[in-house]
Amino acid sequence: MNFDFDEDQYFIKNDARRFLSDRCSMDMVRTYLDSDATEISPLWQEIVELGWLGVAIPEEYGGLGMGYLELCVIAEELGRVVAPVPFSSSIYLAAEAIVQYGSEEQKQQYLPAIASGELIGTMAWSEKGAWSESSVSLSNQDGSDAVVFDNGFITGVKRPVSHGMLADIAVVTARNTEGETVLVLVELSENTLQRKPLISVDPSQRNAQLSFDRHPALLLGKCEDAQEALDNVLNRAAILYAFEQVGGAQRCQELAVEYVKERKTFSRQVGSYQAVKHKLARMYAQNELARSNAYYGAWALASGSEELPLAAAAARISATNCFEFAAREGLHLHGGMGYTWEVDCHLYLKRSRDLALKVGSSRCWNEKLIATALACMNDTEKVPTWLANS
Amino acid sequence: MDFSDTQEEACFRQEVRSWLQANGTTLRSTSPDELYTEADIAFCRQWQKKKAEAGYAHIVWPKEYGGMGGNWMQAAIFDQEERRLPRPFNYFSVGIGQCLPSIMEFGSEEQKQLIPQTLRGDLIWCQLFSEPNAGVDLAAVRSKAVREGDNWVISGQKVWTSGAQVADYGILIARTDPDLPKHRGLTYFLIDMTLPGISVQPIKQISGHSEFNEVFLDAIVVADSCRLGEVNQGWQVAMHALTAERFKRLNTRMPSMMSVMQLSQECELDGEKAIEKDSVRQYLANCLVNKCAQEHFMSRMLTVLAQGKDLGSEASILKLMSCQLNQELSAYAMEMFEESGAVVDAETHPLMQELFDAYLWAPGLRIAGGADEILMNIIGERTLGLPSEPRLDKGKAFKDL
Repeated sequence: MNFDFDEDQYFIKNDARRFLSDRCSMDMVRTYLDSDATEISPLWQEIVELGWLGVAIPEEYGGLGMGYLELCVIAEELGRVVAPVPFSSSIYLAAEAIVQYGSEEQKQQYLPAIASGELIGTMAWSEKGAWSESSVSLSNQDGSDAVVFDNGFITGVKRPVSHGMLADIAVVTARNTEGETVLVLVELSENTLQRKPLISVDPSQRNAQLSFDRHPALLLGKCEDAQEALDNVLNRAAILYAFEQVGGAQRCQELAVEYVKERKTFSRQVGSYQAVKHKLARMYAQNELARSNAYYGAWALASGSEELPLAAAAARISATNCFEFAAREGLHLHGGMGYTWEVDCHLYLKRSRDLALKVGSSRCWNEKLIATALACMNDTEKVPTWLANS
Repeated sequence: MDFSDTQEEACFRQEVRSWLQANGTTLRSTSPDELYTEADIAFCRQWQKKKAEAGYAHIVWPKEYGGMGGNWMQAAIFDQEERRLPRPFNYFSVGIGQCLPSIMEFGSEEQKQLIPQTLRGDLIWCQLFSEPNAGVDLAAVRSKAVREGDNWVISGQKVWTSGAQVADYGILIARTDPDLPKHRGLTYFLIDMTLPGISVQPIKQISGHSEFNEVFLDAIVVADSCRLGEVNQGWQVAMHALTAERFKRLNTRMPSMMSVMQLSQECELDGEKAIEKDSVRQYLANCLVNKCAQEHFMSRMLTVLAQGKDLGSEASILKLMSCQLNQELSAYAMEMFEESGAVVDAETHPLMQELFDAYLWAPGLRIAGGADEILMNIIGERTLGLPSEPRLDKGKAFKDL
C-alpha cells in the first residue's frame, strides 16, 4: 500500500499551483462574475495550451493518456483558485461520458476536439422538478418539459446546465418513446435550440437553460443501460469535484489562518483566542479527513475498483461538508471585511454552494452511500477493508 | 496511489492469516466485568506470549528486543487481521504503545531489557503522569523527586492511572527543580510498582467499574539508573509518550459500524425496519462517511510512516474525531430501541450492553491522553502556526506560580 500521490503527480500539482497563482488572480475571478454570460475567461485558452484537458483522455483520442490521478491533482488546484473555466463540465462530465460510453466513431469525432479545447462539452441532465435518489427521474409530473428522445431528435427543457452558455456539445439524458432512460449526444449549434442564461449562485458557472425543439441527437453508442451509465458518470465526476472542493476548502482555511494571525483585537492576535483556534483546528481536521476520502476516490477511479460507488459517495459527501464549513466559517473569521465584495471569501462561499448542488445534493449522496454499503454487507467477500475495520 | 497489497504485503497478510487461524481460535472478547480479573489477565498474557514467540508482539522493532524487525505497513496488516477476531482486552497496550517507545528512544541498554519482557506479556505498565492539579496542564506536576546519593526519593500523588492495580512498572514524571520554569524542571523515571511506599486506590468510574486509580507515593526510593533521559528533560520524554498515545484509531469498546447497521435492519420503528426510515439512513450515512474518512486518514498516516518520516501533531485528529463520533453513534444506536433503549439487558437487544459500555467509555476517552481542547490547541498552534494564548506561567520559576 502507498496511499499517496507519487513524485511525478506532485510535480504536476506544484506546477499547476505555480501557474494558477500567477495566471488566475482573485481579481480576475471577481471580475468574471460580473461579465457577460457568454464571455469565456482568457484563462481557458492558457489551460488549453498546457494540455490539462487531455490529461486523462487516451492518446488514441488526442489526449495525453496520463490518468485519473493526474487529473485529480489538477482538479484540486483548479478548486483552490475557484478557476472560472468550463473544465469540470467539459472534462469530468462530457469527455468522461464519451470515453466510457461513446461508440468508436463518437470517440474519434469528439474526444480530440474536447482535448484540444476546440469544443467545450457539458452534460445536461437536471430538469425542473425532476429528480430522484436514483440519480435522475426523467418523468416530469405533467410531462410537459421533460426531454424526450424520438427517432434521432430530442424535445424538452434542461436546467440548469453547467457551462451551458459556453458549451458546444452536450451529453443529454432523455426518455425514449418507451419511457426508458437514454443518453444522447447533441451539438449545441442548431436553430432548434434556445439557450437562456440563468441567474445563479455562482455566476462563473455560466448555467444555462437549454430548450430543445426536435433537436438532432445521437444515442451514445456503447451505452446499454443508461441509468447505470449515468450513475457511473456521476460517480466518477463526483470524485473529481471532491478534489476541487477539498482544494477550495484548504484555501479557505489558509486565508482564515493568515488573517487571524495578522488581525488584532484587545491588543492580541485574533488567532490566539481558543474560540477561534478551535474552530480552525476543527476546519483543518475536517479538511484532512475529507482529503482522505478524496484519496480513496482517486484510488478507486484510477484502479477501476468495484468500490468506486462507495468511494465516490464518501469522497463527495465529506468534500461538500468540509468546503461548506471552511467557506462559511472562513468568511466569518474575517469579520466585516469578509462580507465585502473585494475580499475573496464570497468567491469560495458561492463556489462551495454551487458544487454542493451540482451532480446531486448531500441527501442524494447519503442515500447512495447507505444503499451501497448495505448491499455489500450482505456479501462478506465484497465488504471493503475499511468497513470491516470500522 | 496504490491501496492494494504489494506482493510482499500480500504474502505477509497470508502468513498472518494462517497463523491467526492456527493460534487464534480460542480468543474471546473481555467483558467489562472481567476486566482486571486474574483469570482474564492470565488469559491475555498467554495470547501476548504466543504473539511474541511468533514476532508479532511488535512488528517493527528489532528481533533483539523481541520484535520482528518488520515495517509499519506490516504492523498495520497484522492489526487489520487481528481485528477480525474477538478482541481480548489488551493489558499491554499502555506499556507497548506509550511506555516502551520512549524507552526505545531514550533508554540505556539496561533499561531496554524491559522491552522484550513486556512484549512477552511478563510486564504490565501504567502511566503515572496526571495529578489532582496537573491534568490538562500536565507540566504543573507537584510530585517531587529529590536526589540522595545514587538514589532519588519521590513523594506525591498521581491520579487517573489506568491499570495501576495490576501494573509491574510505571513511567512517572516528577519535579526535580522547582526553581526552573515548570516545563523545564521535570524528570522522567521508570518505577517498579512493588516498591515500598506505593499504594494504589481504585477510583469508581461512571460505569461503576474501576480501571483508573489514585497512586500515592510516600518517599519511595528509586535508583538513578531508573531515570529515563537527562535530569530536568522529562517533559520531552513525556511528550514522546503522549504523541504515541494520540495516534490511535480508538474503536476499542465500540460496536463495529457494521453491527450498528445490522441493528438498524433488525429494529422496528413505527411498524417498519429502522433502516427503511429516511432519517435513519441519512444519519447512518453520515457516520459511515466519517468512519470511512478516519480509516483512510489512518492509511495516509501509515504511508507517512512507511516512507520513514515522522508523524506530526496532525495525527491527533484521529483521537479527536473518533471519540466524538463513537459517542454520538452509540447514543444514536440506543435510540433505535425507542424507550426500551433505556434498559440495558439482553431482552432489549444482545448488543445493548456493548452500546451502553461504549457510551460510558467515550467521555473518558475524550479526556484521557489529551482532552479535545488540548488536541485542538496542539493542532492550532503546531500544525497551523497560530499564536498561543497569553500565559501567566511563562518563564516563571515553578515555585513562584
